[in-house]
Amino acid sequence: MIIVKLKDVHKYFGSLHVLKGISLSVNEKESVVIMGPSGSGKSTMLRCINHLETINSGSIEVDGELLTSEITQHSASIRKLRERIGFVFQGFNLFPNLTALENVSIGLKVVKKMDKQQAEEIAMNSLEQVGLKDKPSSYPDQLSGGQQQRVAIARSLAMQPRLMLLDEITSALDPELIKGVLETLERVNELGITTIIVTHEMNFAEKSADRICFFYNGKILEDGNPKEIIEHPKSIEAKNFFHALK
Amino acid sequence: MNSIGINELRYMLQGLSMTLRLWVVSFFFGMIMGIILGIAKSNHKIKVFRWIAAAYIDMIRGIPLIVFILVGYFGANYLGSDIDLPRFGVASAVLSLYSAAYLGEIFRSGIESVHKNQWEAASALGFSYVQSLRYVIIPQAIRITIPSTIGFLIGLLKGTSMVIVISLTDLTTASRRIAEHTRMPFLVLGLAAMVYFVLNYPLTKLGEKLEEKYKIKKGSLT
Repeated sequence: MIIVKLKDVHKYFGSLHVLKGISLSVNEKESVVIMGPSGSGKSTMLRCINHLETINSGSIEVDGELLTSEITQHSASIRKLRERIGFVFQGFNLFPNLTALENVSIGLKVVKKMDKQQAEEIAMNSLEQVGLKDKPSSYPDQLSGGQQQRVAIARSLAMQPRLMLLDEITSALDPELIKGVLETLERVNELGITTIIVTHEMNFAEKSADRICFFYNGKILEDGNPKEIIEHPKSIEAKNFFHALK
Repeated sequence: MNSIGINELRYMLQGLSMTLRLWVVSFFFGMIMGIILGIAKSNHKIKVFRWIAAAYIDMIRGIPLIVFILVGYFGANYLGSDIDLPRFGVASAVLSLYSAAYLGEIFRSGIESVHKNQWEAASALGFSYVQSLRYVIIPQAIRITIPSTIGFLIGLLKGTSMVIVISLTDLTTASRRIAEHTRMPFLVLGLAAMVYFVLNYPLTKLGEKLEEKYKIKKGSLT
């Protein structure tokens, strides 16, 4: 079953043409990695799938919901949809005034209307899944970048999403912290949640993804098996990109 | 010449009580209206509210408080000329409206200084606009605005003394009458000045402390 379907999507920022006709279908439980040079539109596409950005033309269908530019940021249908989509940001975007446990449980309390006890029980489980069950009462600024990012993953996981969008979640981290986050990601993939991951981590993509989409200048140039794309890219752009990354 | 006795002191205490009532009431209502104005002015989607809030804030901030009190008092009297308007009601209404403008601007800047990524994180969890404000943005905005709110509170206490122009018996008005009555202006008004200072000084210190604390917090977040 297809959970995300983009058809000829175009997106402009002012006069800047960022997405130039993106078409992409993602099946349920699939793990898709998006790679490509900076500025090629990867993050923008991810944000469009969650309606944080609205598209100019084409269509996006997510879990049965058609996203059009007429739908406002906080309309009821978008909120319902976002409950089922997790989004993890490059800069973590944790709430600095809340503890790790509160960060993870606030969505359950506010959006899913759970009582405190139930919400915190689920939140503790999520923290355990990301290997942070000993840090529930730490504030974000008391945690390392890698730990903060894992709290952010737990915050998404706690909502029991059908789809998770992860936007360069290791790009802001020191090399020694990346490993823990990637291991957490592998566990997310094993949970059977559909994931679309923007990343530069080639080894992770090769090991853990079902598919790689290679973005270049607002278009998808290649789409297929990770090993094949990394080792035998067809386009010269992908060849150069992966060569530089190695 | 009269000396300062128990009656004079009691009169001044009654004045002080009026000052405190004006202070608390106008801060309370100013706060409520200020939060609404701050939210309205920081909302870039609903332009009408934004425009109204901005116009109100700019207008009030451009008028001297003393003129605003006079306009409020005589204007209200003119409109309801057969009713004897309670001076306290008029003064607290004017001071509340005045506070609302300043606090509104403080809260507006607080809300806008919360990073955009906090809105996005809340949206991504499925929060509505109101839920985002209530659970994510405002708790952070309030922290940021505490020092400037305390600063305003100090100014507001001093501002209440301007009700002297409508002869409302607050600490300043009472002290002036006692000063004339006893012909000891330095002593009496000096005493009044001391009372204002004693009320404000702890707030000044608290404001400095919180500002320092906030600075450290902000530094460690980045």
